[in-house]
Amino acid sequence: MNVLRAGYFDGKRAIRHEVSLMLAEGKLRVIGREVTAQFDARRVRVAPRIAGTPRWLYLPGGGACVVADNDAVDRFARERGFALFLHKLESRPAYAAIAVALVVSSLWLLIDRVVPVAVEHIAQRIPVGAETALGEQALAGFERHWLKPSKLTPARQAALRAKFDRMAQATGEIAPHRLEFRASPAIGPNAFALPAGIIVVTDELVKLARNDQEVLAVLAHELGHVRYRHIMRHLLQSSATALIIAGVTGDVASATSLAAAAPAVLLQTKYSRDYEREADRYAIETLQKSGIAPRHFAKILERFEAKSGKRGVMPTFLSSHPPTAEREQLALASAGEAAQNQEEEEEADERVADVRPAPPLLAIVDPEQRQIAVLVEKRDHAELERLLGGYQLAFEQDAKSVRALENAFRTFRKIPGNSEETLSAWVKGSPSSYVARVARAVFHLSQGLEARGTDFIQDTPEESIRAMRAYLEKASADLERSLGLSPKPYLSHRYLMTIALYAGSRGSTKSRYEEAAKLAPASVEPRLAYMTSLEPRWGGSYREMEVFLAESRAALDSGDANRLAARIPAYRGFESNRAKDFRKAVDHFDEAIRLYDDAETLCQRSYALTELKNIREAFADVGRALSKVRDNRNCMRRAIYLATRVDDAAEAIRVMNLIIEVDPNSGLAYNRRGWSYHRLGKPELAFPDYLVAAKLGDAWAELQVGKYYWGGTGIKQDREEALVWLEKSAAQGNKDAQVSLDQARKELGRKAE
Amino acid sequence: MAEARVSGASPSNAAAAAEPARTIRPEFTGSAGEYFRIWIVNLFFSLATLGIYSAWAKVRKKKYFYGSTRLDGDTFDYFGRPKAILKGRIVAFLVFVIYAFAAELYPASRFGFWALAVLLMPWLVVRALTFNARNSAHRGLRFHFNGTPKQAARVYIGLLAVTALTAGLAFPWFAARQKVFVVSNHAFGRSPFGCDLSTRAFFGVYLRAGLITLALSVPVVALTGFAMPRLLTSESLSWLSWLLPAVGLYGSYAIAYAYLQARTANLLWNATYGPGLRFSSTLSATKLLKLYAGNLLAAACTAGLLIPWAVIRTLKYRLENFAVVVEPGIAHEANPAFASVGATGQELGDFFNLDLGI
Repeated sequence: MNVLRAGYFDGKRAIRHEVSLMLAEGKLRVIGREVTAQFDARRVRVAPRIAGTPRWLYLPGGGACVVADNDAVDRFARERGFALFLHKLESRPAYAAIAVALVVSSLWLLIDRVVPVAVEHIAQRIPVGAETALGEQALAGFERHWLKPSKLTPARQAALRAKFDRMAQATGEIAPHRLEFRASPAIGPNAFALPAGIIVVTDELVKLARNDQEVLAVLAHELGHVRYRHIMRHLLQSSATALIIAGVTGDVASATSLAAAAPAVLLQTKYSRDYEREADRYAIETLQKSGIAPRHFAKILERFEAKSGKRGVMPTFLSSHPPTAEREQLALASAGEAAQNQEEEEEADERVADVRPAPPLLAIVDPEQRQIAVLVEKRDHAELERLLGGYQLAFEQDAKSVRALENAFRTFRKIPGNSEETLSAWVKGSPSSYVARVARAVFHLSQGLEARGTDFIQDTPEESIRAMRAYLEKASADLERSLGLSPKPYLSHRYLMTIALYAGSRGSTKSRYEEAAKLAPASVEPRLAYMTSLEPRWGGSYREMEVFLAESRAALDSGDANRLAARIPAYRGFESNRAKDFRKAVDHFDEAIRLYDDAETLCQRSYALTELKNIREAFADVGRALSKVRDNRNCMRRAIYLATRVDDAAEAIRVMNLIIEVDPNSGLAYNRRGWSYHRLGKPELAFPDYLVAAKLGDAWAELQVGKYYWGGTGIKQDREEALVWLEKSAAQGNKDAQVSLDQARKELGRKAE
Repeated sequence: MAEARVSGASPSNAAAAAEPARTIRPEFTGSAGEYFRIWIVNLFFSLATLGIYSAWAKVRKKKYFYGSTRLDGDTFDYFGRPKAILKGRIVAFLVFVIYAFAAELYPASRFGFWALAVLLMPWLVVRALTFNARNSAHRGLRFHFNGTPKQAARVYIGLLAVTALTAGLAFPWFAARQKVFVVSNHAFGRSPFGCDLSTRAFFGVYLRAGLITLALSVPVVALTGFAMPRLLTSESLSWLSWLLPAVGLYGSYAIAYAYLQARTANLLWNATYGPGLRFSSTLSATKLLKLYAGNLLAAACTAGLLIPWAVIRTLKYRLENFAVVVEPGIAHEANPAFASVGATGQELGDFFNLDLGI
């Protein structure tokens, strides 16, 4: 039998009576000096237990008792599950810690994962009509405060508009969009996207841009915002986040809850940075599809920064845009072309989308090499010195790092032909720099080899040989000079060896090799180069190769030894290919590939397999080779050749994607990818590819674009446009196009009558 | 069937005449740790149930605050029902969503919403105050709110319109009338509260608050606007040149706000009375300011985890500076007129659970 001490209130007067509570036979008895009462226990309502606050028992008839001893009330009331469970959760610090973890993680999950995805879905489903009102309203708002009518001439506007439309069409953009020109001294050079696909570009931007490509680059970025509905997503996302934060911190003063929301606000700026990055990527893709070099994007960003730099920079975490340097790098890296000189750019002015750009330059895929290429493009000699000097220093301290050193300097075999000036400026600026000399030498060496071509010496024309010699002499002079600039001039010896090889001096090849091998005895690199010089085509013999291999085995680990060993069967395969004994060639290449999975060897085997009509395996070989070494020109050529002949269209698309990524100006790759999509029955995907290829001047693609427009396949039917493309193709001498053009003209003519 | 029999009067009643008036200070027995645990569990369940639990959370929180506040030995009690609050929140949420969408899609419709909101406001204010009062009790006796929507309309629409017409100069007058409306229509059982707030004093407080803002913000703007660009020549720091004035302005506003809070609360409570009751409030503007600044810093540095600590210490400080002066021999009685009021009114009132911050 329990007796509880309690305070009793009758609900009529605010007076406390000290009482005892007793529970017996389903009755609650209240006994005190001034009050005695009895209640049906089932009708007594017990308040939930909350921390240490006194417990209320609500009695029938409006009275109430309050008890300090919570445990006793629990025994008395036999409180049910959930209420007691809640109290337990609230009374242990460990549970509170778990709750903190759960709340933080679920908030993060909600804001960082759920909301963006939900918003993305919702944004896709908002009807365009609804967005139109929003867009118009936003534009009107901007116009009231910051925008004035454009001062650009209608002709200029129309020209830009036409180029913009062509670009949007090239990328196959179907999201509705609209270009508006406005003057805005207040905003300055800028362009921005509003809901409903309205893109506003200021006169100031058009003036800031050196040429139309730069304007189009910015517009491509804004088109990216439209494409991914960033504006609606941003609107929805910030309101959803604000709602969540208000819900969580809603019961405190506004300033305090605002302060608590700081992490969420920072998260928002991260999203808008992500949006900008997404739009940047889209812009680069679009520019490439339209045949505009993405470097224009980098250029205009640079101009923006130069213009706004005076106003100060925000720390990254507070900024809604990614750092400009990062964006430029992206543009340059995707462009795969480090530099083009200023004159050429001026010349390119006004020649946009439909003009075939400068000859394609291959992208540099390796990140270290890319970094170096960007520095060359930026003419950042100090940073180049620091970076490359670092590689050389690392090698001087530990010969094992020779591979990184070789890799870094291989960049100079890939940089564009007009880099001579900047490299020379670097050498002039730091005449005692070892790495500067070697860099220029490697560049000249590669220029020389390019001039020579890959044919056998007897098939190479005299002037090519002469050009090569001139380059090699320059390289040789730099390398000889560099020998005294470093205690371990490994690179100098290594490249002098290659020069000696091409100059036909076997004796000095050997002595250079020995010098290089002394400095990096465990490295396979100089051995590979030397092994080449022992090939029969350079005056060596299989015997010499075997002997050299046997000598080298002691110094190399087994992987490197196999790599070196693979060169012998690879060369045998090469000779078999030349002798047109393809079956034997495949056997040799098989052996070589078993030893070392080399991209070049894969390509050569692919050639032999093609000749043996084994197209499927031939294509698999180039696909594998390209996955390994992205920028191997020979492999790319083979892959493009095989892409129309292989049965597996999906595989063909995968390999063409690899090529397009590296060489966005490869009209043939687009052409083949379009064909593969066509075979898969996806004309809507085939068309954009054909269009790009056609714009890059591919006659067959022009014919396809004409046919697609004519039939309304994968694109809205447009017979006039079809005629334009058929004419272009026919003008290039495509027979099929000439026939089609005649038919098309006749048909249109009949209709006109 | 229950039965209750009360015999005799309170013992204090007998010796009434001889005793002097007593000053009773409320006592707060809650702790930041305890409240933190309640708060975080509330938050967790609210999130896990997508906000549905928030109604239960609100009741639990209020019950904890009321149950931890002792006046003259006894705690307060809150018995608002979560389901009524939930209904109110759902309706409010729906109205908000409709408003948000309609206002974006058909901008003209927002004027209709505003007009409707203005028209409904007096009724909503009264329902909300009534709900809160009737669900609050001390010593088993409920509070009441007797204001009518008509009175509320006069204060909230009529006086607000006057304020607008005088370009805000009449705002202190409106603020005073509004506080008087709220306080003097409350009753504890059958004992009504009264309030003879001096509007003049109110004007004085607002005037001084305005002067404080001016006196602080003008030098801040002058300093940051003219001196800073000369001092901060480094470009990487120039973003400070807009951040510092903003912080400075916000700071001077916060000082004026704390001053206003402390002084108006003191004026209001010192002017409030009931049968045998007087109140006293002795808040200090500087202490309140320090408190707010600390709260802000703590909440910002812990991403809101110290919010419960901030809430508790603010509440403690406010209660420490509050007192009730009771004349002996007064027993407050229940108002029979309100004894049988049904639940409908309360539920409707809670549709829009307005927090008026009184």
